[in-house]
Amino acid sequence: MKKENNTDKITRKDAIKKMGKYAALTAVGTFVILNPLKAQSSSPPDPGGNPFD
Amino acid sequence: MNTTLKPTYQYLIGKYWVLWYEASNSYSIVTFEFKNLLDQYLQSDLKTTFTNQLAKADKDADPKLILDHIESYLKLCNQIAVKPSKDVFIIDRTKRSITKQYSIQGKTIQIHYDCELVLKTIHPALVHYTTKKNEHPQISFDVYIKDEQLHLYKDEQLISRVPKRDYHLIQGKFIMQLLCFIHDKAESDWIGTFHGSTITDGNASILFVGKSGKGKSTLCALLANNGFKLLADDVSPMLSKTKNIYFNPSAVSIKEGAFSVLDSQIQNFKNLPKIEFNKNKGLIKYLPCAKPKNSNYPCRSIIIVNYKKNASTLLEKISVKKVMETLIPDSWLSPNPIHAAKFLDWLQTIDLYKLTYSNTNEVIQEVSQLFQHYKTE
Repeated sequence: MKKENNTDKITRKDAIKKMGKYAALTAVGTFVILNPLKAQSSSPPDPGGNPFD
Repeated sequence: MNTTLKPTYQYLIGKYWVLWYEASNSYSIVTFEFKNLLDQYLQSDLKTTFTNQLAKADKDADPKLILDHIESYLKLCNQIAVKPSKDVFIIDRTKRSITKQYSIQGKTIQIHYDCELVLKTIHPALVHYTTKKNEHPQISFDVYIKDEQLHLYKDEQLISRVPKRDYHLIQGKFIMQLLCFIHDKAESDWIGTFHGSTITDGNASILFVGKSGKGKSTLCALLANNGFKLLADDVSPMLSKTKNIYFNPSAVSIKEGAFSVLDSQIQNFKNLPKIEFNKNKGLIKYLPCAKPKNSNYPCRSIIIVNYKKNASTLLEKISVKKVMETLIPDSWLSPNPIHAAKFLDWLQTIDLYKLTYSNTNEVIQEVSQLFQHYKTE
């Protein structure tokens, strides 16, 4: 599971309104948080169809 | 400030900080700017000390917004990982419809399956180790479906029970048990199992990772046919004691899309049986490869494989962020702090690349040069 800070995903209107705050937050820099699998696994099936359905 | 929330480990790798949080076993990759603010926050006695400092340093900054940002980040990083419950399910011995025995590195393994479909989750990748039935296998597994759940038992003890659609988790658990058995290790001895394939030249090894369909198994099959040895396909295990990647005996699984390329490149590939496992996904072939001389090798680099039609061959250095984003979400990594530290120690020392290719001869040449570089270093 990947979580990312999406400071850029705000509407244009919001962006204009929050211009000052937004600029400051961008300067904060970015991060990602990555969680490894909780248990061992082989390649998961590609989306669309599972042999056990 | 609440310093119990701070990262357990912090490593500077290239232009990013890689932070590890014990509570959640999560890896966070952050920029210098973010790391500075995080440090400043953690070093402040009070929230107001932090916001005052921010206001002083930058008139335009919104200290409250930045404070919220840092605090919600730390909250996410410290969410306690939930441990799976250990329920007891007694083995059902009536589910032993099909029995196979395998001899791997001189050790005999027996597996009971309840039906053909369940057999196809494990047997085709090990079929080249099949032996005649022996009275006394050294280890015995049962794999079956009951109450819509797939069960895996080792010597009649439940190892895992998952919804049958999550068969890849049973495959993963089985491989882990198999690796422990053939290498004489316990599950707690491993740093993790990387989702990727590993190739060795008998000196070092390289881990190839990438999303499904990007050509990592095809590339490894080609390399294994051109002077290199396959150390592990799909699941590459790293041991804590040595920080080396160990031999995984499973054959390379090749999807139908790559059959035509390998038919012309690998002798007898055409004659391998075609396995139909998932009706919607086409056929699969399992290519057995010769075992490397040693059971483990140091891994010197991670390469993200990127097959792209008509692309020129290009091996380029990439950031730890790009590699971690591909590697971590699809790999199992032990939550043990000792193992996490060893993983990060290793990550700090290796080369990180992206390899784009379409021409098989050129890509083999490129990987050969990299192995040669490690040999002469």
